[in-house]
Amino acid sequence: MNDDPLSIDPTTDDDQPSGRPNIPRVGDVAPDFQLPNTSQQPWHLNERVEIRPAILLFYRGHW
Amino acid sequence: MADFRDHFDAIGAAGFDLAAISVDPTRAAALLQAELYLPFDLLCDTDRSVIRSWDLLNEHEHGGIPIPAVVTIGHGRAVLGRSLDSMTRQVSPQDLLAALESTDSGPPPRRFLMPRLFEFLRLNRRVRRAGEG
Repeated sequence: MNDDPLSIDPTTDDDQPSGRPNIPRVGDVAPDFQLPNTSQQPWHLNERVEIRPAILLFYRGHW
Repeated sequence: MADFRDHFDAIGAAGFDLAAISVDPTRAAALLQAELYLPFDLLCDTDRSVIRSWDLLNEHEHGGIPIPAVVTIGHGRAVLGRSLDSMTRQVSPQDLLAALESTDSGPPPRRFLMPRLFEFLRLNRRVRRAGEG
């Protein structure tokens, strides 16, 4: 895991963490998903990005 | 999360949707959403299937939680940019917006927007480091 918050790979695979070969890279097609939001309404990635690009924050959760 | 809340309108004005993903059940996510007044969707991957398929599952903490990351997805689910972050440090919305504002006005081709952003961030980091040295 790279500890640099700006560790971003715009065009190369240089920053791919070891042991994490399947983290989507720039240019990859991300796996589709549908998840419920807090109102139990489905949020479908493929449908959303057909409207406009999406920024997804993966966070550790609430505790 | 609060940082992104504070810049939610600007992110939207820049043409981006925003959502956050955790393994929290909907009740816990709703509590967080209410506590922090988060205006964007919190998505609940309680069975960890999405985080696992994206290879972002840290199985060693709390039964499996996401590796903190910010990923931008465009048309056709193309990955436009990504930032793999540490527990305590994350790419800031301020940096994202600064880079967005540095782009030409008007909608650029979206597949080029985030790589330009990340190039900007990388250059900005180098400049800051050079200044510190």
